Amino acid sequence: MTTILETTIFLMTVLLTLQGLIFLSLSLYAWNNPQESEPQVKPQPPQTSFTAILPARHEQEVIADTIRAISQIHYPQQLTQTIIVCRSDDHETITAAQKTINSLQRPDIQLITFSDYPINKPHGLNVALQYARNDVVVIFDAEDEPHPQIYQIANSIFASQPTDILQAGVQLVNYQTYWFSPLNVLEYYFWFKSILRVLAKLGVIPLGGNTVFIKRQVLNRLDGWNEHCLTEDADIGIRASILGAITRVYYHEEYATLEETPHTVKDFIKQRSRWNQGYIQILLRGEWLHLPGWHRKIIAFALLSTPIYLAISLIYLPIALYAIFFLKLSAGLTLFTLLPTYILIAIALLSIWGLFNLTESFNLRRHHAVICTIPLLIIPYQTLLGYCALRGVLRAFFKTSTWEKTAHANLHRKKFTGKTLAKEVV
Amino acid sequence: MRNLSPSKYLLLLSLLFFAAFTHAYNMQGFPYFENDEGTYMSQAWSLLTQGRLAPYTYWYDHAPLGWIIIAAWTFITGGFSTFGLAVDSGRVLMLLTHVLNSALVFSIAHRISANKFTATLATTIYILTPLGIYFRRRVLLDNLMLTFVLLSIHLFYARTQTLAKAILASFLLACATLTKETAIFFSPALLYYLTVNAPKKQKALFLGAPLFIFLSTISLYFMYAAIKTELFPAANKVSLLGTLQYQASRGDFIPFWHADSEIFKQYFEWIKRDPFLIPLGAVSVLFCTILSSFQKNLRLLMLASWGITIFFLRGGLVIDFYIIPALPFLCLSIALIFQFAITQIFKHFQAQAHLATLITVIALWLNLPAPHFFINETAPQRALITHILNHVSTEAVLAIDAYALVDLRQAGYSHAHWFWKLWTDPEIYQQYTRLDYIALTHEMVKQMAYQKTPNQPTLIESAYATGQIHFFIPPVSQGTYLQLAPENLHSTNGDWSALVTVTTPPQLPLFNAWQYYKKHYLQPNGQILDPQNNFTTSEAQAYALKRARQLGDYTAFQQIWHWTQHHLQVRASDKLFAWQADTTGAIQDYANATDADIDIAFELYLASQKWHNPAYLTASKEIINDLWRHCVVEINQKYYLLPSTNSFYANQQAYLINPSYYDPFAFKTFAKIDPANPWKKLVDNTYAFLSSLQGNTKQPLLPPNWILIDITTGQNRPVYDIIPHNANDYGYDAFRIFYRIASDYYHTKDSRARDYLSAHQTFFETEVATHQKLSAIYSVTGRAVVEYDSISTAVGAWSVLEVGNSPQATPTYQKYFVNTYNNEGYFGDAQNYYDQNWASFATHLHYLLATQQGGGDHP
Repeated sequence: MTTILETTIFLMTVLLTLQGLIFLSLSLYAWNNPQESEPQVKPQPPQTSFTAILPARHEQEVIADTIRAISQIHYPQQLTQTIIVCRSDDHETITAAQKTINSLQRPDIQLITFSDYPINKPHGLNVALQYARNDVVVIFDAEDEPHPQIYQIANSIFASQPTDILQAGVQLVNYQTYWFSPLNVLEYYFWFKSILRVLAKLGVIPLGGNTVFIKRQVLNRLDGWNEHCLTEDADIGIRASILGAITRVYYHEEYATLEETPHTVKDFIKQRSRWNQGYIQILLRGEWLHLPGWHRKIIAFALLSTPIYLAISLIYLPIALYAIFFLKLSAGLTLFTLLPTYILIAIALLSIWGLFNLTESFNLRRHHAVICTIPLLIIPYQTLLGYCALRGVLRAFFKTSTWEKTAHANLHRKKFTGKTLAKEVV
Repeated sequence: MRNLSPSKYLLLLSLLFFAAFTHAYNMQGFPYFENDEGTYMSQAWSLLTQGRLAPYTYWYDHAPLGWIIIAAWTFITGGFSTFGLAVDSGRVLMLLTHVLNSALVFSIAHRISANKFTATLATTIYILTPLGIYFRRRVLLDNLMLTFVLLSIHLFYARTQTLAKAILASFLLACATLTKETAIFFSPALLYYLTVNAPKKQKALFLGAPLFIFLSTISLYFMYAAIKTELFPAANKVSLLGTLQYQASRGDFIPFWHADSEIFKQYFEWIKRDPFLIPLGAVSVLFCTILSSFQKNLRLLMLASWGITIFFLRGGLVIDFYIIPALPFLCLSIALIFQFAITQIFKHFQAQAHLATLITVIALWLNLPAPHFFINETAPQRALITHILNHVSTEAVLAIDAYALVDLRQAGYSHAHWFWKLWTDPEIYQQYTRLDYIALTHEMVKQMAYQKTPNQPTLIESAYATGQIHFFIPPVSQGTYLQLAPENLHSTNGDWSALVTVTTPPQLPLFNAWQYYKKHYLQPNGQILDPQNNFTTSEAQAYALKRARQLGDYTAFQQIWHWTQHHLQVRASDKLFAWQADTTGAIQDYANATDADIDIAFELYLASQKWHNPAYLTASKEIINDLWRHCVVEINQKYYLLPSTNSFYANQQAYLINPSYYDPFAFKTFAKIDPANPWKKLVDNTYAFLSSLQGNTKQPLLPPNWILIDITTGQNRPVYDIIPHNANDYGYDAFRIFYRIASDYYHTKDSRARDYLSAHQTFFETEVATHQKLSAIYSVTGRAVVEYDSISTAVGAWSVLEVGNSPQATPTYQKYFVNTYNNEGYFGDAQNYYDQNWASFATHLHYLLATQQGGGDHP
């Protein structure tokens, strides 16, 4: 029994250590390769046409601002198209959207409704795709605040280098709102600024849900989004990687699309569980096995099985505590089991540094009290992630596939964006 | 090295071939296997086979990464015997290490100077220096540490700097520190590197992340100790901080400019092997330091050079092989200075100057003595292992040099131990009651001499002095000599080996008991003080001489005799000894005690034979002569031994006699030394006298402590009034009779001795069988007078039982002399001086009787 336990502890430590080291090295990739992470995009004259798709459901609170924000993107109107897609039963959102469109008097902005099933984002996207007429399709979420220059940037990249997909930066910014906010914000920071860049370079990239630009012909080759997947963005990223699509990541603090964190733990759990469940769905479907090259298959497996080892880590925690306090492990093994603790300390230090960096880059007011609490939040936050992963895995196991939608309250606009943001400058 | 052109690659490959050749040629033969090499191989072996960091208690002597690497190496290469002996396997690893280090020296030089001449010159000197060849071949942690240091510095000089490189460089330096702690002296160079290379906007990250990696990697060592609750010093426990403190305190801390300082002494040893490198290198480091004020890229190298220099100059311990990590920096500095000089002086003939310099350097260094290519110093050490494998039982208890441990353990010699563990570690020596062989080498002699203290004889002194050389392999080199006289333990080089068969004690408990006794009873001036009553007796001095002689402790013997002679041999009319003195040595009673006088004379004689000291023989003869003159009387043509010169009691018209003072074997010995007096007749009279004390009863009477002899008839009668307690009983005096007779039997197999002892065997057997113990005092008729027993008086009964091969002998021995033994080194009550001595004598006699080596050593 002891041997089994010791072996388990050893293997889990190896797993956690490896995961931690990979996470740390991927997170720091951008700073280790600054020439890659901040590419100088040479401005190109507008030549790429864009179709923005804005799927919305029960977003009457935020939809108007989002449509306005998209309409304010600086780009020739003849090269743009904006499609707001709603289900026909969502009268409030439809009304709010229509009202905004009317007030804007822009022929390139249109509202499309559908009444068939399933009621989810990928289905909405697929419906909208049928109406898309431009070269590149870009997805925005209902609460997004895209930067006015984002089309210019995307155009320059598409025009100057072979690109099939462009993932632009998305950033949560309300780091001081809830206890989990700072770490949630930092996750986005490291994910979009650094980790996605490595994954793109390696040729296996789960795309983000918005501010992602995909050539329409690629989408057509992929038959659009998978309507039965809870993370249609990751799914299409993996499928595009199988096709060999050239994906680029562009993250610049100035042009990042600003978003907000979920505003309750419950919402956080719902959102994260859905993502985890989606990853498991993709993993189980096995399409990733068609990725070219063993290294890509391994990376895809490691990436998609993240929820599983996060869930195992949560189960492992009480076992580890039991072993530490009640079992007499050898000194060598005990020392070895401390390695994940070192990594947690490193993550805490990285998070503190990351938050300093983020507040400076986004010109946010620096709340030192929040930054100081980060070391205390690491374990609760990891536990929360573990719980979400476990929930996601169990939901995948029991095939519960209802879409747990995240509510949006425009917090990122009210406090951080536009002119309000300027007031937050230190 | 990616930036090297094909021609430079070719140059580098040629140099590496050269490095490999000069290192590998005769590397298994020279230099001899050093103790540390064996230690690290043993620890690697322990890691692989026992899952522990050391075969004995790991005491944090060094951080373990070095031998973890060695363990990995032997694991990969198929075990410890792949290349011959275990140390050979380690030496092959050192070869690879050296080739890698040479490549790194080349590349670092090239990165600093961007000049292939500088790189070639630095590498050539590094490869050729005999000082380097001597130490680099050895399996030393410093060699492995140097690889990490050079890898780290190589990254310092990388053309493009990234966060990953900074982190890796820090990690490598941490690994160097975990291999050998002295690498910490390179940390200022690391700090400088991190500070200089950090981008302005990302200083926190570029300084913080590498430092976190550096510190957290090193902290693993401290965490390990903390997990084992061995971080902080505590009584009777190893501890990391305690060891660090000890390591830091090693050395004499004489300022480095003083001729007696560690570095000064080592300097002269180093220049014997290479007279050029260190003087030239030191000057070059100074010049490079000056140059670095305007050549920024030299600063890092200089910080590293000064880091190790400060380590040398700190005043603490400097061992010869500590030079290893300094060698590349000396070579690099020399090459850089040459390059600088050539560019300044021979601006237009640089190529010619380069060639001339290289030829000169090669000629200069190749001209140095090169024993490393021609002398096979390890042959005796290999032969010693072969000899043990062919001739010694796997059950034997062997004290060995560390180099042989793995090979012998793998061959099944589970009782082969590092000699210093058997010497100093109670956990090990308490497992054994005997030591069979000492596989003696230079390193052992060196260690013994190094750790020798005035009051503590080495195991080698006590065992070697009483052992015999069974096998000896003479030195390979000319001029090597070996002196094993205890007072002058000295060996000049490791090219010899010997197997000492330990034919007599020390048994280890006996040895430890003597150490304990010396620590608690023996004063530094040689006086023995009984802690219970705070005075000194001639008897105690005699007993101490006996134990020192038995254990070959010449230093202690000299001290004790010196004090005895000067403080107790002060009687006006003879050379006998005043029997009692106080703590200051002032005489309390000038009367002599004959038993002590006999013992002292006897021990002086034996010591004179053992240590070839004629002065002891002279002293012995004087005492023996006076003993006969003043302490032997003749009554009716029979000689009687008086307990003192004044033991005539006029009112009784009798002499007071103590039968336990009779020592027939001593008398037999005196007969040889002092043929003028009829000592042999005294032997005959002794046995007759002792027989007369047995009476005519069915069960012979036990001998009494004291008795009176009528001066006219020679008849004996009980003592009244003269001696207050138990004079007529068998007790704390009389038991010694049996011990002395047993000793005589052991040596001379005198049938009278055996008969006398066997007459009393039944009585003691019955006592043990019936009561499972012996009374401390019996009436002469055999009635227990007291209920308690005693370690010392049990010696008498046990002597009878042992000589008679009684089944009760072993249980009695076990009960009184084994079970009462405390691992600290004392028997029963540590304060009981009498028990300490007599239990020790019994233990010694037990060994002699058990091995039946009569005629050999003396009880």
